[in-house]
Formats: sequence, C-alpha cells, structure tokens
Amino acid sequence: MDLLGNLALGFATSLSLHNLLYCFMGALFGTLIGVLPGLGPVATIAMLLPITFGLEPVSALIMLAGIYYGAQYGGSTTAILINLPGESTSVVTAIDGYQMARQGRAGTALATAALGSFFAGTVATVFIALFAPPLAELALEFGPPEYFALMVLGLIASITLASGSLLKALAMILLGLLLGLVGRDIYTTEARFTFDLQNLSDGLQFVALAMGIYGIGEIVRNLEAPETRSVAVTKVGGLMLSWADIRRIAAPVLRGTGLGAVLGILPGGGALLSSFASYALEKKLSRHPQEFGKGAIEGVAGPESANNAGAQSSFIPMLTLGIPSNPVMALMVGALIIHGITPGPAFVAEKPELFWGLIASMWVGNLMLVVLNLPLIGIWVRLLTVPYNYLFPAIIVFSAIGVYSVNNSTADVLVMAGMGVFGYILYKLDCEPAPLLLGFILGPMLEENLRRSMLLFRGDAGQFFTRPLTATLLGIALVSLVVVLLPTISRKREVVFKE
Amino acid sequence: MKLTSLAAACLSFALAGAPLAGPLANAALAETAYPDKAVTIVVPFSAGGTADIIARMAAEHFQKKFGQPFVVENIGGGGGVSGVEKVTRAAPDGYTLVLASTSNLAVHPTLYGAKFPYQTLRDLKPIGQVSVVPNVLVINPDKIAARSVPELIAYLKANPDKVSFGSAGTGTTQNLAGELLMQRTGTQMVHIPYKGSSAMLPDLLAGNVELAFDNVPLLLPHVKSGKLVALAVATPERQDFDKNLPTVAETIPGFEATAWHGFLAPAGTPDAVTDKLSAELQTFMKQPETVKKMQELGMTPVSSTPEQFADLIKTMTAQWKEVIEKGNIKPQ
Amino acid sequence: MNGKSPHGKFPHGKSPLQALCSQDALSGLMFMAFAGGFAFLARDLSLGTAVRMGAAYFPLLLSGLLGLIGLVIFVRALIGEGGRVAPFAWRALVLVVAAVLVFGFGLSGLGLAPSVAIAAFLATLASGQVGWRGALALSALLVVFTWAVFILGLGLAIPTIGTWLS
Repeated sequence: MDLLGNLALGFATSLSLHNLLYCFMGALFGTLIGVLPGLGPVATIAMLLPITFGLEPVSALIMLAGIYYGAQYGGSTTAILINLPGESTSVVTAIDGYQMARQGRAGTALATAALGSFFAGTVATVFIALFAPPLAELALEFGPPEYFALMVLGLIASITLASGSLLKALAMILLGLLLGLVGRDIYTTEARFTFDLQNLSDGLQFVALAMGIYGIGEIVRNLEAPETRSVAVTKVGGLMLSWADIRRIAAPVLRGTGLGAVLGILPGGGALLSSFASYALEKKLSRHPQEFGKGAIEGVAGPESANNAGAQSSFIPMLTLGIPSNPVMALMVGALIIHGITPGPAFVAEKPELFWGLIASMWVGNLMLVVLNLPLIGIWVRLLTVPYNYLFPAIIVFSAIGVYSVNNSTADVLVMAGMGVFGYILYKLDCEPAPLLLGFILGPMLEENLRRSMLLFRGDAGQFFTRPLTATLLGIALVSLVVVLLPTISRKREVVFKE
Repeated sequence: MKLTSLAAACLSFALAGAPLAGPLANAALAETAYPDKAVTIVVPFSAGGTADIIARMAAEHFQKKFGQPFVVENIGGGGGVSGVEKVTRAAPDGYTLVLASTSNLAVHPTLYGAKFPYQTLRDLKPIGQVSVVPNVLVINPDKIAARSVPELIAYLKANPDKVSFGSAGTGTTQNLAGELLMQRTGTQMVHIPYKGSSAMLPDLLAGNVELAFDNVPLLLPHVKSGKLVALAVATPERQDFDKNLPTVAETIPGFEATAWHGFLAPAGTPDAVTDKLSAELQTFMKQPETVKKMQELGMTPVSSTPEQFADLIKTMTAQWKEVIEKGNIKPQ
Repeated sequence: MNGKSPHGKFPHGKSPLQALCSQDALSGLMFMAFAGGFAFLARDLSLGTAVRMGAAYFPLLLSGLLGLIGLVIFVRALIGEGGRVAPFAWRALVLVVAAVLVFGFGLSGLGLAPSVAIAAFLATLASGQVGWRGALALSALLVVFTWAVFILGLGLAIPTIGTWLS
C-alpha cells in the first residue's frame, strides 16, 4: 500500500487554490444554511447541488463534501442553542447540548462539538485511507437479519436517552415505531394509517415531526415560564474549554470516533445508530450518569464525534460499492454520475486522483469547519442574548420554511403544527420525546428487515440465532437490556426512598 | 359512401393541417411565458437510481434552456405509486412533471385493480419517452453454479423455492421479470422486495438473495469485477454494451422484460406547455453528449413524440396485463 | 369529587379524579388510545403469516405491546404517585400553532412575504409581552430577511406574493 503516495496525490488535488476555495465556500454555505432551524443537510445539499454542475468533477465533489460537513455542523449548532435538531443525528446532541446552553455553557458545548468532530474527522480520514476496500467487504457481512439485530440493539440503547420513567420511554419508542410505519407498505403497497390522504402516503416527514415536537413544543413551554427562560439568556459564559472539560471529553471523543468509524460503514443506517450508541455507552460508563440529560458534556462530545466519524466512513460503501447509505450520499452518487463517473469497485483504480482527492478533501473540509466555526461560536452564542420574545417568532418562521423546503410540501408544515400540539402535551405528561424520534427513524428499517429475514429464512426464525453475527448482536442487545434495566430500577427506588 | 368520403376529407384536412400546426404551435410557444418559475420533476424512486440520473441530466438541460430551476424531487416508496399519484393530483400547469417508468405507467394500474388511484392515460399526459433500460439477469456466482440460462433453468427445476430473487419493489419490472421467468419455465423462487435497487444491491453482492433482474448501470461495475455473473439480457436483441451476452429470449422465445422511462405531465396540461417541453426534450435526447452519456450508463436513448409514447404505454399495459393475470400476481 | 363516596379513596388519599388526571395515568391512557387507534386502522390491511407478513402484522404486534405497557403505566399511576399535570398555557399554544397553520395554509396562495408577515405577527403576540407595534416591526424585519435568504439567495420555488393577491 502506497498510502503516503496516495495521500500526497490526494492533497495535491484538494489543496490547489481553487479547490480549497470551493471547499471553503461549501463549508461556509453549508454552515450558514444549516444553522437556520429546519434546514438540514439533505435540504441544503439539494438546494446547492445545481451550483456544482458547472464545476470539474473533483471540485464539485469537494464542494459537496464541504457543504455536507457544514450543514451537519450547522444542524448541531441549532440543536445546542435552541433545541432544534435539524436532522436525525442531532436529536442526541440536543439532549445535553441544549441543557448546557440553558446553564450558560453554550460556547463550551459548541466548541466541544467542533473539536470533537474535527478529531473524529481526522481519525476517520486516516481510517478510510488505510482500510476502505476491506471495510467495504465488511459492510456486506450485514444482511437483513444482521440489520434487524442491529436495529433491536439500537432501540434498546435508545431507552437510555430518557432520564425519567423507563416504562414511558419504552412506550414512546413503540409509539415512534408505529408513527414510522405510516405510509405505503413496500411489500404489499397497501396504504397504512394514511386516512387516504395523499400527503401521508410517503409517511410523516422526520423534519416536520422533529420541528413540531421540539421546536414548537419547546417554544410554548418557554412562553409559559418566563422566569426559567431568562436564565438561558443572561448567562452566556466562557467560550472555550477548560482543562477539566478536556479531561472529561477525551475518552468519550475517542470512543465515539471508534463507534462512528465502524458503524458508519453500514449502508443501512449505521452512521445514524452510532451517535446514540455513543450516548448510551457514555451514560453507562460515566461515573455520574445522573448528570446525563441535565447538561453532561460527555453527552455532547461522544455523539458529535461518532456522528462525524460516521458521516466520514459512510463514504466507503458509496465510493467502493456504489451503494449510497443515506439521502445525502445518494445525491452525491447522482452528482458523480452526472459528471460521468460511476462509483463502484473499479473507482479507486480508475480515478485515483478523484478518490484520494476526495478523501484528502474530507480532512480539509473538517479543518475548514474548525477554522470557520471556532470564531463564529461567539456570534452564535450572542444570538441567545436577543430577547426571547423577539427570537422565538423568527424560530417559528424559519422552522416553517425549512420544513416546507424539504419536500416543497405545505402539508408537512401542517403536520409540524399538529406535532407541536402533540409535543406540548407530551411535555405536560412528562414523556420525553427523544426515544419516540429514534423509534420513528428505526421503525421502517426494523420492519423491513424483519419481514425480509423471515422470507429469506423461509419462516425458520431459529436462524436468527444460528447466524453468528446476528446471534452475537442479539446477545449484546439482551445484555444491554439487562444492564439498562437494572440500575434504572434501583435508582428509581433510591428516589422513592428519598421522598 | 358519403360518410366515408367525409371521413376521408376530414383525414386529408387533418393531414394537411399537420404541417400548419408546426408554425402555429411555435407561435403559441413564443407567447407562452412558461416556465416563469421553478419546475418540479418528480422522480418516484430514491435518489441514485437510473430514473433519478436521467431526470437530473434532463433537469440540467431544461434549466439551461429555460432559465428557470428544474428541481428533481425524489418521492420513493410504494414501488413508485406515491410519487406518480402526487403528480396526477398536481395542478396541470406544467410546473409538476414526472419521470416515470414502466412499472408506474404500464403495470401498477393493472396490478392493483379498481381501487388504484390513477389510470395512466386518463390522468397523465405523455410528453416523451427517453430511454429503454435493458434488464440483465444476474446471479451471485458463489451461490448458484449455473453459468447460462439453460443451466439456470435446470438448477431452478431441481431446487424449487430455494432461490430468492431480489427486486426494486413489488410490481417493478425487476419483480415481473422474475415472475415471468418462473411462469415460462414452471419454476418457483421466493420474491424479496426492497426499497429500490440500491437497497437490494448489497444483499445481492453478499449472496443473501441469489438472483435478480436489474438495470445495467447498477450491475455492470459488479459484473466487470466478477462479483456477479450476467447470464443474459431481457431485451429482444443483444445489446451494444456486450454483444457476447445472449438474450433470455434465445432460450425462452419471446421473453422480454425491459424498463423504460418517459416524462409526463398531469392530464389537462395545456398543449403549448407539453409541446414546448416535448420539443426541448427531443433536442436534448438527440444531442451527441446525451446519447454518449446514456450509452455509457447502459441505457438506450430514445427520442419520441408524445403520440409515440402514448402508444408504447398502451401496448405495454396490454402485455403486462396478460402476465399479471396468467401469474395471478396480486398484492400479498 | 372530594372523596364523598366511601370507595373513592386511593392509597395516597387522592380522589379518583385526581388519580385519573395525573401525568402517568393520562400518558397510560394516551398510549392505550394510540394502540387502539393503530390497531383499528390496521383492520382492513392484509395480515399475512409470520413467514409472509402482511401490512398489518408488524403494526398489530407493536400496538399490542404499546397497549399493554400503556395499561401498566395507567394502573401503576392509579395505585402510586402519578405526578400532577400543570395547567396549559392556552394563549401561547393557540397563537403559536395558529401562526404555523396560517403559514401552512397560506404559503402557496398568499406567497412567502404575506405568510411570513402574518405568522410572525401572530407568534409575536403569543408571549403577551410585546405590543402590536413591536410585532409589526419584527414581522417586517423577518419578511425582508426571509425574502433575501430564501428567494434572492437560495432561489427556493416559493412565490413572494401568491396568486390570491395578484
């Protein structure tokens, strides 16, 4: 392996002045649009894709990569500052990031996200450069039964996202799973739970759900209690990490990076699982799990690193097998093909400058992001000093436009309104929404892979336990369930006894 | 006699009128402000597939010619029904178009019977066909020892219900091609639907499903690398991308299961708009770059008039109807 | 209501209505209602078998589990501590949701600028701490900003002024 020579080729490509410029522009646009609530990476890339058509393939991809990272980071920013996750992965970041912001530590949370992401991005880049082709083979080890087992594991991990009642968290996951099944069934093409409404035949949009439950629900909740809200506004706090913070985040960042880099390879939702797998892991390993959900810095550092490493390694199945692992990757495959390049097994050998240029530019993109965002943190945080009475109408308007723009559908805006009411009721009933959202995302994948597995097994469910990888994953899931259940029950008892 | 001559007169008038319609239509075009805002092209499949690629190429061309954004919107799910259904209900103003495929236009309305939400030629107005996408019969060589169609048939006959075949969804040509193979050879396989071809590919490469009919662009890189073996192509004639690859029809006479794509607008869209789009589409399809690019992708570019496209939809609907009824294929 | 009936007392000394209106009891009821709703809507879908699951199979499985957990939550809330539901902030809720609904229903007809203006105006009034002048000023600011970013900058396919007004 001529790794150094390859990377040299890559950097020679990506560090040319105009490619650097495209990368910077991509990261800048991505960030600026991504910080607008409701505009996640998919919407951002779809909107900016046409700009890249006129460019050389290398430049176009480099710019797209910049946009992707920028939009992701922008999504994390809104999740931390105003509790608005613009995409599925920032649901996890919002849990503790927003609590940190309420305690006046928004700057620290944003810096943690930026630095954790940069570290993860750097490691994942090297990881891809070294192992891309063998890793692609690994992805193929995952068939429908393995994905099913992985989803089960993910669901169990998502119980830990809630800090309150375990039973309620379970119920919320189930409700999320059910909501995720709305739309046409791909096996029989029957319309499910759509009330014969055309706009629901595609299912509920994640962004509409998240913006409603988090965005609208959160705003109404803030409006009813002016006293608690003012806390978040007055204290802006320090922008940088203290040594104590760095010591606390070091291990979570490392573990998150590992999780993300490995899970990101799986095209069927691996990168997504990595961020909350990391959260669950940190909460379990932490010596002070009670802080999670109330502003634990580890709850931002781990998932953000996992998220970025996963985003990075999800390029592997796309570049080596031509399999897009998420909508953003699919757009990138489209962009490649428009430029006359079909990603596949021969891609690395046939277009080395493009492959290595892209890998090098991933790192450059991450560097841009840190350079760009560390100074911007001050500005984002200052946004919080805008009186809330003037800030929240802007949030509502942006969310509405953002939700609309994903599919150019006003029905989604109406769904958001409905979900806002639902979110407020959930708050009143003390039901935490994060497990519901994760259930919602995993629901369709869980069902699809279960049904597919049963067909492939010809009905012999025992094969779930005879396939080594599936059995291992299900075993881990079972152990996790026990580990998750035990301390929660005992801790609940403690609380009861104190009262 | 009088009636016949009247009809003849009408016919000759119509024929005489045809050349006239050209300049008239052009005059109408000049007056049409269309498009004066962004146009959405609905692709009823997830991004990255063949239809999506064509749509994006055409969108780029339209955008350059018309100076308005042409936005590709991917509405996957339900084998493409959701996306097409949405377009049939859109305003017939030319600002919502659909790039639909064989399944959407010639299969679904038959497959799902009376409750189905649209009838292709009643609810949509053809603009033009753009491509023929040959389906290739591939197997995972680690799972199936057969290296030719006759060998495969023998293998399937010896192992009923053992082979799983993957498809891009219930009611896609990939699905029907497999059903057709079973019907014609009297064999039995298990159908495993996916949410689009991209989702099926990893399982085919890994051998979880052993056989599939699918598009050349998706499969060719993996056939070249040896991970998959192409046994035959499901078109009537051998294809340019590999003249050595036999057709399925050489073993099973009359076997044809191709996919094709075309642009349509909601029924009731003004002629001025569809004519304008049709003219531009035909220009686009004849451009050397378009032809070259589509061939590179394993598609045969087609340039057709709205009428020719309408005829194709009619013929193919009849053909698949027979297959569906013979095979008693219904939503499970 | 105040425990007049001899059987009305629960372990915590709450009246049945209080026990029924606790956070947990209501969430239990909500989960059961959702479970029932989904199961009801699945009645016309194909059930299939474990090997060939139909469209209704998995949802029914989930509904059953959800209903069961909902029931457990409900029963536990009746015999234990359920948490009190704080009063709703009706004004804020209604105005904020109305703002979003106006935007959703109005966008295609009214266009971006009027929809943003109305939505922002309604939303601003929701806090009850900003007068109509402030609301007007904020609306104007947001109209200009959203127009500049989304129409001018990003070229989103939304008319600035819609067909209802022109």
